[in-house]
Amino acid sequence: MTEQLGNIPPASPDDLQAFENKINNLDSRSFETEIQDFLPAIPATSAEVHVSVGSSTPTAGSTGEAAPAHAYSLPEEPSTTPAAASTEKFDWFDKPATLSRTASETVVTAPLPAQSHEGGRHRAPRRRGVLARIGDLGAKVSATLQETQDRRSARDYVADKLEGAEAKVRAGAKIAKETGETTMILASFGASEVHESMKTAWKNNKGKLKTAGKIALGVAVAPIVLGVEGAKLAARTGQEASRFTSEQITATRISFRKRGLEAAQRKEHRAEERAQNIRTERAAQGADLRTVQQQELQALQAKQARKAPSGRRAIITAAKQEAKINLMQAEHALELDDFNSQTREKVAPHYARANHIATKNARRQSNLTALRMKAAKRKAA
Amino acid sequence: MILYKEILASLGINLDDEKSAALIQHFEETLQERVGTEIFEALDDDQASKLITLQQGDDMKATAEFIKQNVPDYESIVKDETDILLGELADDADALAA
Repeated sequence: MTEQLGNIPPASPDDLQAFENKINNLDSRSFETEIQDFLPAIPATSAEVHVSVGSSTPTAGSTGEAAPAHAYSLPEEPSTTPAAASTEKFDWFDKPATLSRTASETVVTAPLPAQSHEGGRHRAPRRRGVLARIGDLGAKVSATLQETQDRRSARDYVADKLEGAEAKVRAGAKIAKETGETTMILASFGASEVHESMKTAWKNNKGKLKTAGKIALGVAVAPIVLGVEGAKLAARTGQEASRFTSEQITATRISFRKRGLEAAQRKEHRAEERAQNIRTERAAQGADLRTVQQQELQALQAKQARKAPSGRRAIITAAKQEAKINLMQAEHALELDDFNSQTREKVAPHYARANHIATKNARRQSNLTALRMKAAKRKAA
Repeated sequence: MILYKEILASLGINLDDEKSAALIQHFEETLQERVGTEIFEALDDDQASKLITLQQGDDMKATAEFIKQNVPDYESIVKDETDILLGELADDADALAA
């Protein structure tokens, strides 16, 4: 079950599906770009929520402790915020964060979870890491929007609510990915009911995933072909590693990138198909449920019909009811007639007196008019 | 082995043996994880549960057979994930070669 946040309309199913597909294909380089693309899709509230994401480029060779800071700006509420600039430090998930207030805005600067690095190279985030980062960012965006609507301080909201919101968004994203639901990310903000199935939990176990992947790789033909291609490449060129020309290297890179993009499209297509299949299946389950409900209703109606009088008994009952109604109507008519009769007797003397008074008044009026006409003639003469 | 030193060289990634071995291992582990994730994505809850049981039993042969039977496009999954990762490798080649 999901709930909306205030006046934030839900994203369209197509938008959410497209974003889900993007998540499936995220890597370390494109992550920030995708997020930047996604953020504008969140409609601004009437208070013009402003969210800015800072640089998160990891430093090569870092130990994994580097935590890029992201800043999220909130519009200030003039009635409650002092005009003077101020800075507060506070702990957020056991890491130092800063709340800066200026006359025009409040900026919460907080660290993202540390990223792992290996051998001096940035390790591409695992899917779980990507989800965690999206959940983290989504929660902050949610917090920002919620904060604006609630007119509470960013400091209180971040401190009290964000951790729960992050968990909900993260779980919502996982569930959405798992089920192919289109009610993702945006609709998952503030989700009131989240859960993790065994499958989801299992998908977070890297070791088990690797085992399944290793076995699949072992039984698939594709990597063998690739290996043969690699061997052919080596044999064909017969070159030392350092002797590939820049043209050859460029051509190979272009070829690999092209293949990668095509593969990503196929993967996206598969994900869409899976999501569609799940939707179709659920629709069928819904239809089945409606059929069962219809059958239950029919059974209930049949049961009620058995209890109701039928045949000759029903006709007799109806005739009795009709006779009873006719009798009541007849009695009512008699009573009405009697009432009218009595009323006329009571009212008649009053009518006679009223008529007498009216006649007398008319006569007086006539005499008065005649006298006035005579007086007028005399005056004229 | 899926990735060879020659393929790295063809991308302009020239590393010594130790570093290239580390990169190849990282590549293959990443690929395994991504393929594993896609395999699970392709299964419904009941099938995933069965696969988990098989994996817990360490029966590699039965697990492989199960994947063949229940993930009809597993070869496409493997090929696409491999190509995607190689594409990322090509994208990162300059940084890796430095």
